[in-house]
Formats: sequence, structure tokens, C-alpha cells
Amino acid sequence: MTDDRHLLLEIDELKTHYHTPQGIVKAVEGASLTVREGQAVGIVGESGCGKSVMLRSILRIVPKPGQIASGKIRFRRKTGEMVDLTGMDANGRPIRDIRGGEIAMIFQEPMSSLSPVHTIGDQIMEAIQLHKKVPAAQARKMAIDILAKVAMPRPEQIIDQYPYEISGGMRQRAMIAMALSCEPRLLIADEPTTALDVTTQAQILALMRKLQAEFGMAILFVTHDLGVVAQMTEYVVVMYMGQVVEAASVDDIFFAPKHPYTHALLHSIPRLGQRTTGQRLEPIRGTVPDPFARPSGCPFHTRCNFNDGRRCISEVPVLREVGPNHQARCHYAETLALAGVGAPTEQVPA
Amino acid sequence: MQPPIATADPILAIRDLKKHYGGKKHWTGAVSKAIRAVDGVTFTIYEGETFGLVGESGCGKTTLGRCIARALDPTDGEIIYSPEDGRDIDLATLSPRQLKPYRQDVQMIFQDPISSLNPRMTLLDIIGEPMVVNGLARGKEVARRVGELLERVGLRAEYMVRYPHAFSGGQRQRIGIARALALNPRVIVCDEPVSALDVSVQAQILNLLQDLQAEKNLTYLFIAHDLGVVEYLCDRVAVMYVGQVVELAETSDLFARPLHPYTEALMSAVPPANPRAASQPRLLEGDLANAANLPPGCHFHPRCGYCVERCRTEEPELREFSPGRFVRCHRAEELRLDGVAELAEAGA
Amino acid sequence: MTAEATTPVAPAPVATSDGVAVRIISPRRLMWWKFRKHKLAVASAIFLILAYLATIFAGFVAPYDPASRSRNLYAPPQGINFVDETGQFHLQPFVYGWKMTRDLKTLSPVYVADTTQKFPLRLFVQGEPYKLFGLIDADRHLFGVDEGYFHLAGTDHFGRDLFTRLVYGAQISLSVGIISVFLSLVLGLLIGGISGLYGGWIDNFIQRLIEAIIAIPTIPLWLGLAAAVPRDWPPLYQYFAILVVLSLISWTSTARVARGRFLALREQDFVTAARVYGASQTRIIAKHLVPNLMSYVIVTLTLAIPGIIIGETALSFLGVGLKVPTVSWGVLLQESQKVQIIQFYPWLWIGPAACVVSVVLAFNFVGDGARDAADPFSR
Repeated sequence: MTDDRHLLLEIDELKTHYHTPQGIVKAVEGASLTVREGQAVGIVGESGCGKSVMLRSILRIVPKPGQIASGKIRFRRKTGEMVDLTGMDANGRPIRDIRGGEIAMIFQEPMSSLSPVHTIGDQIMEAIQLHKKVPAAQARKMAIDILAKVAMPRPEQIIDQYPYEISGGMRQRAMIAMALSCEPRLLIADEPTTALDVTTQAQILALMRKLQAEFGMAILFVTHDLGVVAQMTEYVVVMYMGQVVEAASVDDIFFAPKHPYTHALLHSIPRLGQRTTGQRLEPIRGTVPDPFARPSGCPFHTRCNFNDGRRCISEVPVLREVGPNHQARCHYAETLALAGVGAPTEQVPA
Repeated sequence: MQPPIATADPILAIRDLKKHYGGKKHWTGAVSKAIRAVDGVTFTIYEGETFGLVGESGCGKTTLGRCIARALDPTDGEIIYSPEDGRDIDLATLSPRQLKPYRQDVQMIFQDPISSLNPRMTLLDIIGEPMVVNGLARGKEVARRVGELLERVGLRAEYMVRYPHAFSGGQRQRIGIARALALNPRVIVCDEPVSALDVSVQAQILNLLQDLQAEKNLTYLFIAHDLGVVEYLCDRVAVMYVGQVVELAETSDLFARPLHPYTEALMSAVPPANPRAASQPRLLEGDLANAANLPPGCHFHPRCGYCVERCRTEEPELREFSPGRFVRCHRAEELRLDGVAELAEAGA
Repeated sequence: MTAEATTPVAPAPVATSDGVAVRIISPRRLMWWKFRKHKLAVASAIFLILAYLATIFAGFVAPYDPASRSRNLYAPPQGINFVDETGQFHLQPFVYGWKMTRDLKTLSPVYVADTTQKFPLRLFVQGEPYKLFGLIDADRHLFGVDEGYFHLAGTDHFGRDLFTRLVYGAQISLSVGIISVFLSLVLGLLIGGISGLYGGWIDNFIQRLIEAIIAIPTIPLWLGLAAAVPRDWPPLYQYFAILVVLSLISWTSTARVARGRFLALREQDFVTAARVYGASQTRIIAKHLVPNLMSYVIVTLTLAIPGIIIGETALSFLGVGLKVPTVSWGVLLQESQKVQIIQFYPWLWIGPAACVVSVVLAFNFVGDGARDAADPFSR
């Protein structure tokens, strides 16, 4: 399966490290992924897997004392020119133009990402005026339009309200409106629905799907909820301890996983409608290792059911092609027969 | 794992339980409007079962759980507890002194693995204090039993000299479970015990809870918002919406064929973890009703897709639809709502 | 936020066979580690410890008796020299004696270093007798001269050694801070605790009372209360009266912190858990609330001490606090209020003022460090 869409973002062997008095935390340790124009890519992993730091590396907003140690982040700008974001000055003009203008980000907690002392309208208008030279009256009109686009009820009134006056779901709509105000070509969504209730989450996810179709932007969707991944993305990257352990189409990830960690994630959560009496969950052993004490060899070997006790603990596996458009970082990716979810009886051509 | 409910004895019977906040006359003369966090909840929990309580934030499920464990004092209603000696005791009205002997029987596990453990106490103190307070053990005996409990929940006995900050979220949750077990309770109120944990750790804790239940014949009141977890773990489920139970049924019945439109909306909102099943959420309009200013009639009617005139004016009662199935909806008989199977099919 | 974006406090732990990191670290150790990272706070803490040691061993540290007079009135500080007038280096430091002349217009003394008189400085010299801790007879001093005189910070109008008087003054000024802060701690914890625990009208009443006290401007309130202290009381009584006056006002901030923390802690799940397993109210307060409160209280206290030191100084300076013959930094400042002194004998006010400023700053730095360390689990 080939994809002829233009490459939009290419992360190549990114390493982002934190230098602390106690030692180096390798938050991102050689992560690679690509996003094509208009593509929805999911990043899955547990807390501490480096997914948030990777996103922040793209926008060059890694909090201190973290810094990009090596690797490239190439991004295709509106002009068609490929630029390396890692080479830019983190406070310079070019990256600031890209931030918000071409790459926008929405966060998990809308309350702390919106300024409590400014109205919703002021914040959206500021975002618009930062990147477009328009007079205030026109910016206000654009802000109302964009609020209507995110299905905000009564946009003419909401625009003059403060974040604390509206509900969590509406705040997340306002965040999305702000992110979309400059028609970004890549939207980074960092767990955008984790803090929301399930019915509100359904509203926001439906909205994001609709907007993606309408604006044709690419989305990098970070979440730990496999349901959200299944419904929102076409390509999935699984991360563990700062590395990409598997990358494949969403169908392959769910039905033909090649990495034991992906397999374990799929089978460790109870899924709605899968109730089978007496069947126990298969948890992943132990906990995520201490970031100061990375295991030798494959970082997952301490929790892996397929650990061979030799190669897995001594030799670091590399991310390699294990199938068409399917990469995995495991010595035994080809030989392990890992079951996907539900084990579909008939193969539906994807 | 489904205990035969019909033959099991009731262990806790909640009767018209209410917890209201505010609504008192202020000394300036102003009367504040009461927030009805829990507003007339009735259900019975049977010995040995896992009773699920689901709902979205603000529906009163946590407040209800805390009232039942008597961490909060209910405003009104009864909590009839049946101790092993066969009497019935209303926990809701007991004074702290009278309550103390029964406290051992009803314990709690909390959601937040950080705030549920005192940072200045070692595990020995954290898990041993309940025993000391209730005179179950003293001196070396406490340490021995704490060690046993730690090993039972999957930690090492020698960890008892450490402080909670040295442990990960999942390990802290195990410590919280050991503390709840310290008094050999019969009922444990589990308030979202896995929702703050990483996915890979959730299953460990759920399995541990299941094993402990089988081993000690525990009864769980399991509060959660994750329907997948509830479906997996619970025998019966009550769905709450702004302080009231809107539907109560055995888990398989509830998920196969919900009777209340809110239950259907909740189930349809969960994105299926299967890329080939398209999500078909019954999107709800607007936000959760305000517990201080409830709409007239059915509290759910402003968001309900099946609302008719009667729903706007007449408040429905929780009624027994069929043996063991309760619903608070005027139209339960006429509506044919989709269960998880239909929802998955609709998308396929 | 993700765990990797934070800075762990503990040193690299050792992973055991089961992958569990081994750290047996008490919260206290954790706080100390965090405090230690605050270099300025550590330096300030050392400075304060030395200052308090100096007040405890005042008789030993000070070269003279605070009341003994020398012939040199209004003598400026003597510089310590290693190199004499011929340019020769001496390993042992020495001071020059003063040659006094008088300004013919103002008749005030003018001192010129007399290079013919050299007094070598020595450690542990025998000097004026004193009583260590008011009990033990002694006559050794930390430093001084065998013959002649040495006034490190100059002398006053009676020719009394200012450095000596600063050291003795610190006994009062520094202890006022500690003792009245302790009093206000007891008051504040008690009242704030009651307020936070019981809530309702008690809380309301206490909060309004605190607001009323805070609303009164501090200095007039101090003045009023201090003026009520009988003039004819002996210095020791006056000292305690001032202590009480100061702490009667400063308990309010402690009470507010205590109340706020009580309210926040009461909602923590571990307190709920304790209630559910039947722990008594007293036990919850003693084992769960107070230990978690202490670090915050210590921070407030550290930050309150400089206010009290300034309060004592201000009261004495305004003439309603302590009075001669008691020696405190405020009294010393009050003595140097005259224009003449400010203009011609600046060391008499620079000395005590510098002491007050440096101690107050040091307490603030320590308080800053303590505030960061107070919550060792915050990241």
C-alpha cells in the first residue's frame, strides 16, 4: 500500500534528554515517525513513554532542563519548502510563525491552557491577529465564525465570556477554535478528551472528525485510550520508554500486532461488548522502569512474556520493516504469532 | 463468577438516601439553594457480589459511595447493614461511637493514589493504624500482619519501612487495598480504583480485586465511569444521573438492552476499540443538569432524544420493569434502545 | 504532565530484581535534599546559626563588657592591618592606636591612627571577666589585644565598645524573634486549627477577628500596646511585655496558614480513610493533620521572624520599646538618632542597621529555601 500524499512531518531518530542533577533522563530516545498531509496519526503509550515530550520537541517548547540532543524534525511549510525544526532558534521568528500558524496544539486540560483573565473572544482574536494582518473588527467576525464552526452554542455571546463561565466541553471547543483559527496544516492533540466525560468526549471526537474532513489538516493524536485511537486515526505509533516500538496502519495494530507491548496493551484493558464470563484480563507485569535505570537490551524485556533471556537482555533491537508499511522494534517480530483483538473471523479488505 | 443473586442475602440496603449541600438559612437571612448531590437513591447490594455504580462526573456517585462508607453524613434516608449475626442496623443514623464496631465491616479504596496515603507515615503505620485503632493487633503482631497483607497485594513485606513516595501509582493503589483489607471488612467501597492508573497497570489491580473477592467473599460497591471496566467486573450495575439512579439491572441485561435513554447514550459514546467498528454515538445536547437547579419533569429530558410532553412535566419514579430490572423512564416499555451488540453492528 | 518532564529529587535509585526502585528515604531527608539545593538559603542558615551561637557565647565573643568605658569617646572602627607603615608584612595582624585631637570649630574629637602604637591582635586573650551563660566565671575572649585597645566597630559617646554592644544587643534582638514567634505559633496553630476544624460560626468569627487585627496599622497598635507597659518595670519584665505585644499581633498570619492547610488536608483521601476505619478526631489531628502541617508552619515562622525583629527595633527606636540600660539593636539605633551622630559618627547607626538588615535578609532567604523544601513531594 503506497501513500502518494506529500510528506508533512518527518521525525528522524529524535533524542530529547533531560539533564538533572541525578543523571540524564532519556525522555525521547531515538523516535521516528512520519505524518502525511491530511493524515490522522495516533501516538499511544503510557505516562512516561515520552509522547508528550516528543510533541513539545516538535513545537520547540520542551520545558527546561530538557533539550533536543540529536535527530531531525523536518516539516513542509506552506511554501512547500522542507525545514528542519530542530535547527531553529526556539524563540526565533521562523518557529513562532510555524507555531499556531502552521502547527497548532490543543492540550488535555482546557482550563489551564486558556487564560482565565481574558474572554474567549480576546484569546481567539489574539491568535488570529498574531498570524494574519486583519483589523480588530474583522478578527472578531472571524472568531465568531470559527466558534460557530466548532458547534459552539450561541457564539455571539460566548465570545464575550470568560473560560470559567463555560463548561469543560465548551472550553475544549474554544481551545479547538483557537487552534483552528489560523487554519493549521498540522494539529497536535495531546490527550484532548482525557479530562472530559464520555458523552462530552463523543461530542468532541465527532467534531474533530468533521473538522478534519472540512479543513483537510493532518492530526497527530496522542492518547492512551485505544478506543479513541481506533476511531480517530488511520496510522498508529506505539511508544515505550522514549522509543517507537511499533508503527503500522490502525488495522494492523489492532488485528496483526507485531510487538509484544502492543499485544499486551490490547489485551490488558476490558473492552465494552467483549464480556466473556470467567475470562481474565492479561495484565502487563510490573511497572514502567525508573527513567534513571533503563533496562539493558530491549527496554521492554523486564515486562515481556516473550523475553528469551539472552538476546532480549543484551542486544538493543532496532525499528525495522516487518511487513508492508509496518515497522516494529522486536528481535522476534516475524516469529511471534501475536493475536489481535477479537480475532476477526472474516478478513475485511482494508 | 456471577453469584446467584436470588439465593444471596442482602448485605446493604440503601433506602431513599439523600445528601444535600447548602440550602440552609444563612445568618444574614438569605436562603441558599440546596445542591442535591444524592437525591433519593434506593438499591440493595447482596453479599459476595460486585455492584457497579456508573455515571459521569457530578452525578453523585462518589458522594453516594462516601455516604455509604459513612465518610460523609447523609442528609436523609437509611443504610441498612446486615452484620453476620443476622440483625439489621441502620448505619445512616448511628453516632460515631455506635458506628465504630460496624466501621470495620465497610471499608474504602480511593481513586487518587497520591492523596490517599499519608506522605509522613511508613507503610507499616499506614496499614497498621486501622488495626491499632480498632484494637485488632498490637506491637509485633501489627508488623507481622502488615507484612502478610503487603505480600497478599503483591508487594514485599520488607517494604513496610518505606514511605509512600517511593512507589508508583499502581503500587500505591495496592497499598491502599492492603489498608482496606487490614480490618477484614465484608464490604469495600471502591471509588474509581483504576481510573488514575496507566492502562497496563489497571488490569493488575482489577485482577487483584477479583482474586481478593473470591478469597475473602468480599462484596464490592464499584464506582466507575469507564463502562468497559464496569461491564468486565460487575454483576449488577446502577446508572446514575444528577443524584438519582436512572437504571439498575444485571450487567449482561443492561449492556444487551438498556431501558433508559441515558444508558444508551453513555454506551454509544464509548469509542469502540476496533477500527472496523465505526462509532455511532447518540450525541447528547448540552451539558449535565445543574444539581442546584434541576429541570422540571424528568431531569434528563432537556438532553433526551426520546422526550415527549409527559417527560417535561411529570417526574418519573424508579420502578421495577421486570424482576431485578429497575428504570426511571416513562417510556421504557415503548422504546427499543440499542445495546452494545447493536451499536457495534450499526457501525460495521 | 509526564513524569519525564519533572526533576526527581532523590538520587538515582538502585533497581532490584523485580524492577522496583529501592529508596528508603524519609520525608525529612527529602526536604533536606531540596533545601540543600538552595545555595543562598544554606549560606544564610549557616550565617544565622553563627549569629545565634555568638549570642549564646556573647561574653566570649565580645572583647569587652558592654558597660565598660574607655578613654576614647566616639572613636571610629579600627582597621586590622597586616602591613605596617614601613611596608613590612606581619603574619600576626595588629591595630594602630588612636591619636585624638579636637576639631576647633565643633570641639568634637578627631581620631588619627597613631603609627607609633601597635597592638597585636590575638585569639583567646585574657580580658575583662564575664559570666558565661550568666553562671560560669571566665575571662578569656575569642579575640582581642593584650595591651592597648581594639574597637572593631568603634565606640560610642561613653567610649563603650560598639562591637561588644552589638553582640549583647543581638541577645535581645534575636531572641525576641524566636520567642515571640514561638508564642505566636502556639496561638496561631490553636486558633487557626480550631477555625479550620470546626468551621461554621466559629470559623467565621475567628476569620473576622483576624481581619480586624490585620486592618489596624501595625505601628500605632504596637505603640498603643507598648505604651501600656508600665515605665517603672525592670528591664526583664519590659522585655517579656514587648514579646507578648509582638506575638499578640503576629499570630494572625500563622493562624491563616494553619486554617488553610487544615481545610485542604481535611479533604485529602487519607484523612477520609482514617475516618472510615474509625480513627478518633484527636488521633486524626495528631497523626494525620499536624505532621503534614508542620513544614508549612515552619516556613511561615521563618518568614515571620524578620518582621518581629524589625518590630522590636522599630518600637525601641521610637522610644516605646526597650530602654537604656538594656542593650538591643533597636536601643542602639535609638541612641544614634541625633543629627550630630548621623553626620559625624555614622558607624554608630551603620553597625546596628547592618546587623538588622543582614539578619532579616538571611531569615528571608532561609524562608524561601524552606518554602521550596516544605512540600518534598511536589515536583
